[in-house]
Amino acid sequence: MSAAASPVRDPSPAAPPAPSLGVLSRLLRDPEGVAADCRDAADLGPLAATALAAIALGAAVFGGVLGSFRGGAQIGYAAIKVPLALLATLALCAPGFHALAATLGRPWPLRTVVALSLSAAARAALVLLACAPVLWLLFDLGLGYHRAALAAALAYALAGLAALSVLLRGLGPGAGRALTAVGFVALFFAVGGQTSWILRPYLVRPRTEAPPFLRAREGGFADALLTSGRSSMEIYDEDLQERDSEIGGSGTRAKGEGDERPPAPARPRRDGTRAEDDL
Amino acid sequence: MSLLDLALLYALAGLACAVAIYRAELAAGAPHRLRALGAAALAIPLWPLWAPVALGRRPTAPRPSAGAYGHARGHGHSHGHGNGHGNGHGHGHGHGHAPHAAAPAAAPSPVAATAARIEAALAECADACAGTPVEALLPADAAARIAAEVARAATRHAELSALLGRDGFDLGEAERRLRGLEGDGASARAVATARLHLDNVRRLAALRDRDARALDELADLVQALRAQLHLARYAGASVAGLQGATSGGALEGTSGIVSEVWARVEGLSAVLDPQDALEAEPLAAAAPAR
Repeated sequence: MSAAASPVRDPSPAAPPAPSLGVLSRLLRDPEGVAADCRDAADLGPLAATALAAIALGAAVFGGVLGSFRGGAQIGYAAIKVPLALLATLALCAPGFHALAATLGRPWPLRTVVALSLSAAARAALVLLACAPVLWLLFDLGLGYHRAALAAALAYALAGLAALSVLLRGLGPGAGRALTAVGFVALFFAVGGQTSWILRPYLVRPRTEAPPFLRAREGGFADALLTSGRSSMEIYDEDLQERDSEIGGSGTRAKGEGDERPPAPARPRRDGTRAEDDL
Repeated sequence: MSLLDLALLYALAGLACAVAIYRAELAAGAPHRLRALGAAALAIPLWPLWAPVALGRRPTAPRPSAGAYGHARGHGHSHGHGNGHGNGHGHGHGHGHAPHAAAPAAAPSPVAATAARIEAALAECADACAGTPVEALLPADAAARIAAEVARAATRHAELSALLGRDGFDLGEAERRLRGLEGDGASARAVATARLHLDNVRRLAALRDRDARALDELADLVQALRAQLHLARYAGASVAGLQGATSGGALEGTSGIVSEVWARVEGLSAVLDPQDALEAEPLAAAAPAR
């Protein structure tokens, strides 16, 4: 008799890491199952590959629709930049997600956290894909610039909720679930905001003659948020600088002072665009 | 450091991950080089997302092909080719390829099904342990070693079953032969030869049955281990500090079951050395004194 035969490799190796329509369908219909797979499945290759494909496709189509507000080259620019912003954000956030999850009671392998993040983002991208025709119709019906921005923001909010559903299911029951989810969202928002800021513009006014692929960097997302917040309280940076030079110190103008002076008009930039065109 | 420097570092890290993924895909038996190249290429721009998934794929324990233990029984692959040579043909070429079974695929034997159950449960145990504090109790490579021993035992069981199905190795026939010789008053030498043959066949059958029993018991134990690991995992067991009696009990129970599994595997390995069990007595020693 031969010696005990050495075992051979499994003749049916793991499924190839290629996108799969079945996984895509499950992303939409069975977020619970997908979330469970992220935790339990041995081979996350097909899930990750499908998620990446969904992100690329969904975000590209949505970006293309955003760019269609201006048309021309901006369609292609935005179709490239929207998925790029999303993928770059995920890439930057993945280690942070892993650390947050481990700290808050879910010491999962990095691949599990990455798969969960990709699945959530893929679901969001599919929602954006679904919203794209609606947005396109609204643009075609003559929606104004600011309302177009609000409509796009609403689509992003819906997509975010869809992603959150996968995330919460993936985090599972147990202590620290809500805090972990808040941490994930906060990190994603911060990193995603800055990444998107760097890659802007996406929604460009039709009258812009030659939209650039990337706007010249001026400030950051946090600065823009702060400036917008201060502007909403009628605190304008130009007035602040003038007051500083007058009184020789820093100080925030109190509400009500100098209301009679209108805000300074937006200064044109070297590339010919204006601040109000930024989005 | 400028953005360009960062981009260059990012690309270098991506390239390193791509090489690692390419080698891992080939080692895992990717059917086409192109597929491995595709997986590697995806790592260059997306390595923070793709590398943990591609490189973190859980190792699948080596599994014998269906031909190794499902087909060997009674198919006579060994006729005229020596012991196990037919079986070697069935699974000796199994480097990621399907076995070239001469006969249509038959239903797997019960032992093959048990071995498959054990391997699936072990894989699930390793998955449940991975990345948790209990991983030290059953790391992936340990699970793979156990699965390999199970596969060896199942293969040996199949070989023994095939052997005992061949002409001249049937237990009932050997018993009838001995009874016939004794009843007919055959020579002592002939009776001794028949008795020796019967003893050897009985030993082979005992080895085969012992393998089957050991695998059955191991299957039950691994199933229990799987449940215990899930309990330990969801009870939030922590090596650093156990929260409450439930999780502490789960961890201790897990450790105990893992020890028992290793003990059974060692016992299985002991059975895998057939030389002691099959030690044949010389005819001269067996023959009665004249």
